[in-house]
Amino acid sequence: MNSLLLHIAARFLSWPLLIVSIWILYRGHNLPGGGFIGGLLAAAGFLLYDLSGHGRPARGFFSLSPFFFLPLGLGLAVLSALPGMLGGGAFMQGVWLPGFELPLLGSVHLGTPLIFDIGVWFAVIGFILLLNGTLAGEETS
Amino acid sequence: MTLYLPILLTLLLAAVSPWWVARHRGSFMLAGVLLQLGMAAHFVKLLVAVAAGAPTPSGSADNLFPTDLIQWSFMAGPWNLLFTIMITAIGLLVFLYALGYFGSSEKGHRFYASLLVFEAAMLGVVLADHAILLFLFWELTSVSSFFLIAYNHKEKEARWNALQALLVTGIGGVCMLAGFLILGHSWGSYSFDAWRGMALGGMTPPLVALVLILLGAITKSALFPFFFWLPNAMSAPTPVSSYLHSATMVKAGIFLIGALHPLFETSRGIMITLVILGGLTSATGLVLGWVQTDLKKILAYTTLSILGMLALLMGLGSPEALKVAVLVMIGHACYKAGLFMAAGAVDKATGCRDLRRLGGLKRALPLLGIASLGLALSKAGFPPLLGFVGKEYAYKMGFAGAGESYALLVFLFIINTGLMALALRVAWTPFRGDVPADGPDPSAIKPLSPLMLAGPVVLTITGVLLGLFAPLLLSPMVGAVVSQIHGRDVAFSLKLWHGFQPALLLSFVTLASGWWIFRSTRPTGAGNRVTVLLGGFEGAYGACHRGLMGGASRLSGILQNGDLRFYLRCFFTGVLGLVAYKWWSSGFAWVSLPESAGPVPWVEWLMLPVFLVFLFLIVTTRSRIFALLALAVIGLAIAFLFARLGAPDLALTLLLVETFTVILFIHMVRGLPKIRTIVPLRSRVVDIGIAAGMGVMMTLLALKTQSVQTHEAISNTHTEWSYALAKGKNVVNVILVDFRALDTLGEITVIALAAVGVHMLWVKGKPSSKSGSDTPSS
Repeated sequence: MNSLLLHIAARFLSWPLLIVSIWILYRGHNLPGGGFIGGLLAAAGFLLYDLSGHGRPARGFFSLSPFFFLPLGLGLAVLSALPGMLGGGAFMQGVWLPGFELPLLGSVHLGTPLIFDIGVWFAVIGFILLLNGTLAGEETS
Repeated sequence: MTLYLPILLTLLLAAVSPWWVARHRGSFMLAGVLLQLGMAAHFVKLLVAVAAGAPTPSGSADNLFPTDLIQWSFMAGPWNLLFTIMITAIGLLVFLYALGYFGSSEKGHRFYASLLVFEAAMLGVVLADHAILLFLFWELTSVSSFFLIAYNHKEKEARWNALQALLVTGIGGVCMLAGFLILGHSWGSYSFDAWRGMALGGMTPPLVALVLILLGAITKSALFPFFFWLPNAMSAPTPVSSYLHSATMVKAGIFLIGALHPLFETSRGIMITLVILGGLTSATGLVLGWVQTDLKKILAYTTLSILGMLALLMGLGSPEALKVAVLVMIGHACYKAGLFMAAGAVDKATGCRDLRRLGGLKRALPLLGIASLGLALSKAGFPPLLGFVGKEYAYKMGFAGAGESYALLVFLFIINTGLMALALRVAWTPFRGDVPADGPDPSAIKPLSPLMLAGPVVLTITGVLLGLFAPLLLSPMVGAVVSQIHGRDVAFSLKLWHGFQPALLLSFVTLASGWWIFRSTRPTGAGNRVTVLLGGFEGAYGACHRGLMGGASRLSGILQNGDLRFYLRCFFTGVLGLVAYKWWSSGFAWVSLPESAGPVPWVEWLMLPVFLVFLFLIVTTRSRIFALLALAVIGLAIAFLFARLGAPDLALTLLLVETFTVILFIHMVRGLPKIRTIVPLRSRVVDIGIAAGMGVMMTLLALKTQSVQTHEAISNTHTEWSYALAKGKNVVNVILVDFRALDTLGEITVIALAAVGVHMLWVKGKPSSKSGSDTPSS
């Protein structure tokens, strides 16, 4: 697939897609979005870059292997489950920092569910990249 | 704590043993010796105290398990302690023997872990008071025995034998568990101690539970008709044979029968069964052992014989019979383990275990010869060795009774005579006379490690000492043990000398005829009709095993035939049938539109032709890519509906998933063959019918779920809690990352595994590619 339009468009769209994806991930707690949708969007950015003919399979940030993202995502998700237990609560019980105000973002709540969602985000990216890399690798060889 | 600490320490040593023994064999040996010596001394001290009237020691950790179905509780009566002493003392000798047997070769490094795990498990079996806890340890002994029998895992026969032992004892173990559960459920307790008390108090346990528990015991102790696994287990290294398959594990069944003796005693049928099975096992062992020429096999069959005799005595159940059983068991533990070690030492020194080719070793291995002969004489019941005491009491019991006890006397006489001849044959033949012409070269005999001699020598001396000082050392102990098995106090004072009586005479007749038979017969190695007949039981096992494997293979051939259409047909017709049955049994309840349903807006009506047109295109097109795109359009239309119905999260996700499905599928489409009509019209009609049925069913179910509401909808609560508890306004996301986060964790684990699975399959399917070359190709 060698389309100049797509080639150029991909260069300009990939990074904005990633930023949108992170925004969707963050806002998911209150508005439509979240780690799953955000992860799919980020993966879409990487895949777009790949499909537009930049020559090598989509590898995500800094050419990291999907085998890096999958354990990272699962590990973050499991880690986020532990603070609740340390505080004497149940496994995966949410723990929140006190809310504070930030310009542009407004009222901010940070807590373990957000870390969990980031884990989901990474896992989904790894999933799509690994599948795509595997299947596309077959096609090219 | 003092009861289960030894178990934990042994497990700890097992865990570190592979590294320790590889790094520093000397200190590992010291640690093992100290641990086992300490445990043996500890248990001897406990037994002496208990026999003198101290309260039964017990130990438990409450609340370790949040249920009564399993409790970490231990209790040690005299019967239990007797076993712990045998396990730790013989364990120590076997440990030393194994160090000599494997030398410093790397092959032995894995060995001690399995051996020590077994020892810990065996201690658990004999000390556990809770039935289910006992079952866990029981199974652990089977598993560790599996690894030990298959220690030479490159030999096919060793693997087969290990599996056989595991399956036979494992199936018995499961039966036993069922028995425990039935009994525990009906009596409301899982404590052995409580069970004994209830049985003695006059309660009758359910017969089926007893039968099941007995099945566990007879498979473990290799009683008739499950005897065949024990001789086969001789493919294990000799330290294992001498420890597991003569001194400890095979006695677990006898232990269980003794520990639950008051329960078994409530059923006359069970006791008679025990007597019959014991007698049959005893005779079987003698008959099959007679024709063997392999040292270890002969020892295995004589072990069978003794196990049978123990079961028989337990089945007789009188205090006298139990006394004999305890004495025979102590004697057997001493001499049989020693005989195994001696046989293994002969094997190690000459490289030969065939009796026909062995002889004249007394000059090369004098100490081993003396120890071996001493052990055989103890087994034969030569006064004043330990074996003599046991046999003397057995004969005395026979003479004391009337009628049928004479039959018992004849039986005991035959078994004892035969066993004595066999014992001499195993222990003395390799040493006496001259080296046979085809025997191993005397000059090539390898020197033995002193560690390998320690076991036989120590056990011989123990046999002499215990025999000589039996009244002093054993009287109170045996009395206490028998009292526990019997459940009532039995006074007992052991005597070595009973005066001139028929029993003494019979003892000497046994000795004389045993010696005469030993001198006048030679093993042939050839089978006869009886051995063929008895071999049939193993054949039956083999047939069951092959039948199960073959049946499973045929069944998977039918069910897993690789035809996706077949799977889908089975699945869909199954679901359709089940739902149709439910619908029929509820009297074809009418399905109607939910009352809350309003008129459908025209935008949503617009989607209907989209669905119909693209569906038609999918099923008629010959192009996979076209079908894929048409499917994606339907997906987008559904996403549009989701968005209209107030589920933006769902719509977004579906949109993205559809996109990726197309991209990923495009990658693969090139490798797939063109769509061809390979299915006859008739079967397509059937498929259309099934598809239509599924469609109708799903629609009706969707409608039905709207009108069925048995509980208050959980969505309301979720909406309420969402911001208050989870600080989130998007309920869907809060459910995903907070309320049901564990589900989500499971889901991302599944997708990660699925991706890795696809990767592995894809890579493995290409043997030519570089990434696939890490799998060995033969």
